[in-house]
Amino acid sequence: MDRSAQKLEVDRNYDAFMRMLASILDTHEGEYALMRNRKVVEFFDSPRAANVAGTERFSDGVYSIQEVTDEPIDLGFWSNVAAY
Amino acid sequence: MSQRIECRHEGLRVTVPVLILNPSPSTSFDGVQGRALLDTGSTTTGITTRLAHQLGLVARGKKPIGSAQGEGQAERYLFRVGLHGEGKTPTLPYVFDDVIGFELVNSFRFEALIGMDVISQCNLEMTRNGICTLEFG
Repeated sequence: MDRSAQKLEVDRNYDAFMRMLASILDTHEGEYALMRNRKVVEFFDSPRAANVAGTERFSDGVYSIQEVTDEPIDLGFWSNVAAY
Repeated sequence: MSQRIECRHEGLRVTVPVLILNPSPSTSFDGVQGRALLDTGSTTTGITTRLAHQLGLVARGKKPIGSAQGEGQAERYLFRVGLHGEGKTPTLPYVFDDVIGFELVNSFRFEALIGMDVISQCNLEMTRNGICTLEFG
């Protein structure tokens, strides 16, 4: 797999995903979007199912998976530490 | 059948032996061994960049991340988490379904951080005399 192409794909798809998130959140919250070329190919119930589909459909291995949620990752034990 | 393992309770933190595996082939137990911090305050599981490179993982997505330094974006990797007993009670690893976790900096003192996406699939018991057990499966 071309790692630089994959990185670019992740960045581009993330940008497109954040733009469309508000419109898909109600109907697909908690699902995983398989993305290619800035478009959602299909929604899946688990990251595993999305990854299996991505591997099967895209022989070059270039695709991304986005969790449909508007909650950021909360890092618990170190996210609330005040840095000086 | 459920599996029960004893964790190391080091006073201020609980750590477990962990096996991080590639998402596929799903039948493979070849992975990287390490130690993971159990963090009930973290929503998501993470692995260090070094470990991700050792496994040859590629970033599959991104997600906003909040920290004391402000908002940012975390790279997300797909991997499997295996937990197993050690010491007097070694067991074969129990491997959870794939998680889409985030990337930790290499200066993080453990190889992985187990967040609530995995812990919520377990029974976690901790006593004040240092005994901590995790039951899953």
